[in-house]
Amino acid sequence: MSHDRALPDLPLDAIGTVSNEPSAFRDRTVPMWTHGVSFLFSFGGGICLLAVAIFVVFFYELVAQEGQRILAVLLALGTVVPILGILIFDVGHARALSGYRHIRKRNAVTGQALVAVLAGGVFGFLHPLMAAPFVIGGVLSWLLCSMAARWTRREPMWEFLPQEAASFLSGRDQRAIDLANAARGDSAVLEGLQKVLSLGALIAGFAVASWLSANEVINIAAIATIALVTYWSVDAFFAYFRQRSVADPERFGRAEEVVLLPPPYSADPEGDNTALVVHHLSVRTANGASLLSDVSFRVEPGEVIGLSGDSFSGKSLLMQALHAPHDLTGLQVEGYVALQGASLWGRTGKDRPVQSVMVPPGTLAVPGGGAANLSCFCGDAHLDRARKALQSLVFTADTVSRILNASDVRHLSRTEQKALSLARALALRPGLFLIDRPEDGASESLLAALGDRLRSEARLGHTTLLATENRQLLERCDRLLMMQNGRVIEFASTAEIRARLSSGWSRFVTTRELDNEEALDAWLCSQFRRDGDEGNRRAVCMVANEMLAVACQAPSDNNLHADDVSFEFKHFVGQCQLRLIDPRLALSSGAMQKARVAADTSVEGERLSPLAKIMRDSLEVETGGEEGHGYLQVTMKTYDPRLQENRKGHADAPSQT
Amino acid sequence: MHRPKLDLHPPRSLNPLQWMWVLWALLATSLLVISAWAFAARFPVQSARSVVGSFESQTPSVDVVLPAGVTLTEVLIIDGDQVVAGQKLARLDQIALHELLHRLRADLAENAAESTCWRDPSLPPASSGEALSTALQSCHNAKRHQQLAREQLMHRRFSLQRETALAVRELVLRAKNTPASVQKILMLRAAVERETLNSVVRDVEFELADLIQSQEASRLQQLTALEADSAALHTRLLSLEEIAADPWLYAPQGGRIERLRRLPDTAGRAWNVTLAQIQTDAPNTYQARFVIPMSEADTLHVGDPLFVTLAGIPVPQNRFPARVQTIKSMGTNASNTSEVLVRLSTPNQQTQDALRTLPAGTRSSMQVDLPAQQLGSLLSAATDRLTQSF
Repeated sequence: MSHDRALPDLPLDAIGTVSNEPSAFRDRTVPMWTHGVSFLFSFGGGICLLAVAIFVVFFYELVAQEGQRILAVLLALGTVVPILGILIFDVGHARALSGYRHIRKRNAVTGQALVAVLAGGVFGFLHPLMAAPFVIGGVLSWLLCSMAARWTRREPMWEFLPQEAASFLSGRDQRAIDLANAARGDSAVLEGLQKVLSLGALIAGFAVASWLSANEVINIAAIATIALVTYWSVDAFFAYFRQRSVADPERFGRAEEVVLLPPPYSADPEGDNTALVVHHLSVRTANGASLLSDVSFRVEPGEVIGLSGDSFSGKSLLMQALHAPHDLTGLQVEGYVALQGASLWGRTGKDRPVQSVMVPPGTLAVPGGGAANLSCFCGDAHLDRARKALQSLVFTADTVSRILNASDVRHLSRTEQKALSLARALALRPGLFLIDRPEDGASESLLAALGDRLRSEARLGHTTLLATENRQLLERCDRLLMMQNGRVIEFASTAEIRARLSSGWSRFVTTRELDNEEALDAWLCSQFRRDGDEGNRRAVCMVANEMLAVACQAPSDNNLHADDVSFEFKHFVGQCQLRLIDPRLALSSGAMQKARVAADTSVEGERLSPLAKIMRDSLEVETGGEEGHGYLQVTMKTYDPRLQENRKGHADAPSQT
Repeated sequence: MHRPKLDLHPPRSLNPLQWMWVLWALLATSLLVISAWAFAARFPVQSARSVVGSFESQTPSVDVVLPAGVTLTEVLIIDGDQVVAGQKLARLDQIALHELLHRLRADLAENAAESTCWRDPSLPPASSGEALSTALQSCHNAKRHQQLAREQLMHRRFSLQRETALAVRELVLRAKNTPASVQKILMLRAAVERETLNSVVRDVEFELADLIQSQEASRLQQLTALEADSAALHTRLLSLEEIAADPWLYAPQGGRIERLRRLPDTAGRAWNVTLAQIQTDAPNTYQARFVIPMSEADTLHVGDPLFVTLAGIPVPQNRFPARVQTIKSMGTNASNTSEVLVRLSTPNQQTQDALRTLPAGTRSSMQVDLPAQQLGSLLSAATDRLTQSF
């Protein structure tokens, strides 16, 4: 019975007794109105601070002037009230924005600066001269912070000596690594400048208040209060501008920009609502260097896609760009990525099922123990499901127990950490699994179990993108996405690619655009990796570019979207073959003959058609059609640089007579 | 084409808990402030300040005065009677009053004539044949005597001037008849003689000016005395005319009659006579007060306890408890001050008697220790002083 056959292949946690209800997840959020709340707390604290300063008036007036000695103690006790007020507002601020320390601190500095502006306004209302230290202090704070940020060096958390580097880079001191990688602070000179400017404001406040008192504008008792408030206010101004000179930590490590392109035109809009659609996904550095170029593909539900390619081909970057483009530090990302019709890039504070899960090569863990990290802190129901997922990967009860009972995930072995990460991802049951190099730290048995499990998930309609070099896992993929230099050079079924690769042919698929010459050349250059292959690369690239030009000269079918053309390449002894496969390629025998004549009779400097150039630079040119596609196959002579090196060596060797 | 950029900041979420903490902080701070203010409003602080005021004893009795020259026909009271203000105490002799008025008017007329005499610079006629009053005759005699003294000095000056001229002329003529060697000497002698005699003449002229000045001063003194007499006579005349219209002696204030004198009914005295004394019932026989700034007076209330110390008054106890009796604003734009009247509380009977029997008008400086004030009041006053300075 089909039901009996299907049942054992399905994941245990999906068909078991545990709940199938997806757990509620939400993205990290920050509370609304944090600025308003912080301002209220800062304002309250600032008022308390001003109240402390006003007590100075009472000390002078009642105790020092009138000799009410008992009031010295009473007023000292009275100052406890505003001091306790400061404590209350600070504690309330910390509790109201608990867990958002950097936001709270930044907002508190802003709030204190606003209170300082208020105090300066009140002083200015009483007498314009009293506002002068505020204005001067504020302007100087801005100038000094701006100049320091522009012309001085930001202080690192730890500046190591070259002699020390060998020690911590040999793995002897993780703390040193953390310190060396920590974010830089602001300029070291700013701290001293802040003290100097604040003390200058204190003296200026004393000077102005004393002068006004001598002119009988203000009471002598108010001198100290005015000076203190001026000191605090200018200190707050400096702290504010100093904070502005440092980047918002929330932007630290973030992408420079993420541009969401509109969804592509689709002939199958209903199908788009179930598939993974990636359209024109590009990633560039800040100076414009392209890391991912115009990646577009579509994955149907239930497919397992393997990402394959050389190193630096952009596989991990593609996964990161699909899943969390915001975390691509300093990069510019644009494109359209959607799963089941919903963008993968959107983040929301509302509860929703997990769309995609990425398992990076390393371990993602937070303090809380193995069970909590496995269940994503979602309680026993989810833990039960995660445990079953873990059991399906590691099989042994001891390992499962050790992982669950681990108080610190970092103490687990790499394989166990990997199993935890994979089991956690499986238990979340997203629509899309993004697994980057699962073989890192994983045992063969774990990889085998993962392969089985991914196939089972695929039967449930889940999509998987698997960046791996593990042959077993690649063979379990439905299709392979071949990448090179940040481009997709081929996206075809695993069997087709395997068959082609076993015959020695490699393929490059690109759109019918002359702009793709660079990508085509890069692909061809990768076929000639030996030292001294420059001549081969140059010759093949020239011919390939002419073949692309021929493809671009093909008659248009009035389709607004560019269609794809394929190039195939294979080495032979002393020669290579490059084949252009184009569904719209139709070269008549007359055109071929004309090009042959033009190539044979050409002289140096004469302008030739692309096809004539191809014939001129190649040994043999063949054209034809099969399975509805036209092809143009070129055979070119190549040389073996190792043989040439040997001949040169022999020629240079002294003759033995 | 519009390229929508994604917000790289985390999404926002509603967190009502943060407002609860705002509320908590506001409530906690408000509670703290209210508690502190309530404590300050009730916690008394003994002031270390003292101010200096004044103490002045006031008489407790009022005299019933019988004007000079007025006689009584009937006395309606006896010692110990309680009277009220405005009550009739005695009846005056109206006929004697009219006679007295007639005399006063005559005295006024004679005073006016003498004043006219002294004001007129011209000499009176040598003998007008009229019967002049003694005062007027005395005025005429004094003026003639002054004239005579002036003429005597003027005559002497004239004689000296003539004598000088003759002596000089003699010496000049004698010099003309002598040899030239002696002639110069005689001419010098004539000059010396002339200068000596001129100096004597100038002395006489100074003497004459001094005489005129002293005579003028004497005249003005006489006129001033006459005007003062005239004013006194006029005042007395008006008073007597008022009394003559209603010939009764009234009580100036309520109280008990004491020390009633038995006066003969026939003759009036030449001076005012105290017929009796009315002992008042007022408790305060003194006035103790001090002046403080209005901002400090605002912290005082009627009935607040004080301590005062009197200096230089011979009483058994010179430091008394006292209470604020009244607070009166003396505020002007220039000085915002208040006058505080104080009622002394003297538990010691001897001290009370000593204060009551102090002669009226006895003055003393008084040191006042301000009462204990609430802490809140002190702070408010200090704040007011601070804000007023702006």
